[in-house]
Amino acid sequence: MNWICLLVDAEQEVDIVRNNDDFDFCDIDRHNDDCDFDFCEDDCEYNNGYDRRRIGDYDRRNGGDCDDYDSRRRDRDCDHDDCESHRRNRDCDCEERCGRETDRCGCHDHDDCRCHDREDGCCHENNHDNGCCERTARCSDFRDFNEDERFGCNSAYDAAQSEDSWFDHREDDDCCGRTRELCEEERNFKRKLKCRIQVLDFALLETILFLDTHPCDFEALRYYRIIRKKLARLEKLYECKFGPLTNQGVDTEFGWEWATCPWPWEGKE
Amino acid sequence: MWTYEKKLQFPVNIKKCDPEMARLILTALGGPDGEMGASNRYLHQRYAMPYPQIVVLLTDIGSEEMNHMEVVSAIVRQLTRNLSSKQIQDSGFNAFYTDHTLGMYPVSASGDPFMSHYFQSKGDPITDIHENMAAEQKARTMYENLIRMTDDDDVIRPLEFLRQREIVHYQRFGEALEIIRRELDCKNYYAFNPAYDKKASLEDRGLESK
Repeated sequence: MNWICLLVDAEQEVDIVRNNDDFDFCDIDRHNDDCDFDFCEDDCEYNNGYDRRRIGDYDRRNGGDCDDYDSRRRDRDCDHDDCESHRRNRDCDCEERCGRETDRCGCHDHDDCRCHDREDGCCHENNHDNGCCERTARCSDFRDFNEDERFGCNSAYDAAQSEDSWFDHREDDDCCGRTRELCEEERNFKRKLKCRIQVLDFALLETILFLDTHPCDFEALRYYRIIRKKLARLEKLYECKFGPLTNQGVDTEFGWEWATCPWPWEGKE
Repeated sequence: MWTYEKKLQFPVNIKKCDPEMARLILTALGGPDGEMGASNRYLHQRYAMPYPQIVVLLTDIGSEEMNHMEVVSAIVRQLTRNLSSKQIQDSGFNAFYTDHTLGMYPVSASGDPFMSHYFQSKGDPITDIHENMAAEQKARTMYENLIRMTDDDDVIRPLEFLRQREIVHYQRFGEALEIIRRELDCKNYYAFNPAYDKKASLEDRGLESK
């Protein structure tokens, strides 16, 4: 594992996002009022007969989108400071959710709150008998822990050395590598959740294809944002509860689940 | 670059095995109007497409066709679960089984392995979009034919979904054709070839290119 650690050792992400004094990211804020780029003006030569109004105008007229989608920045009725989003968000209601101090919340903006509790709200009962909010490793605020933890280089958990063999996990599909079998209720919930994700995923894809040939249909753009946000939430919940949906969504606390949880063609959806 | 998601675009839960039907459905994967040809067609046409608004459509639909490949493979896989020797011998699946056992392999209903002859990438926007629209209609007919071959609802449901997607894609490619037409001389849609290589042509004739 050591060579991987070497490759990713330097905190280059931090350098780029946080410690670059010479460069002000607010200068390239694409949503800034001062920016005179109107993305619809140039690109809406084709819209298959649809309205060519600017999306921003539509949002403003309709009272803004603060509650509906994640881009508070674009909405002037929202008092969201764009530059603030690189830092911690004081409005984050993490405390209420997890009963922890707000400043432990590492969220970078309101809608992508990654406080311990929202993550751990999907607590893994199997491993945490005493409830949620145990883990810190998922917190996106990586200043909270050291390099080794970040990349799992010295992780105590090693899938290959766990009690059950790799092939045992494969047999026990629904357990997804967990030590306990999911009860029927949980299976149903899993099925329902997966189905809902598929529905939203389909709605999103259908909207994407429509937008490809109707790029300035503001209602479709709005619908896209709403669906995308709902989908992201459910996908996060699913990965928390039942295992990864992509190979970037693996909760390493349970080992390399990407290899062990069931494949979609096995008829368990 | 693509990312794999561990879910089907449409759920497939087939309880009853049917090796004969599996053999026919394989054509939706690697047949002349199958998803493998569709995906390859759109994803390869992208590079020479001069209009970015159509490149994006080819990318998105080409990627969706990869989802469809997986849905079709899931149907075939589940239709051939736990087969007895007798079931294999008695069904039309025996020839496929001889060559591939239960491995997934893209062949047409008549047994031809997948060929890239099934699709074209001509480097001309109008030609390619016409090809795509025709392909979507051919695939729709193929799914309708497949639906006629079975009365198992578990199989029909995903096939109907795939059929509907062909119709939506046809609609989107139709709109893409409208977009291309708008770029052309409105009095001469088809006489003017938007992908004609003017530079090479002028040089061939000894004329100076612009």
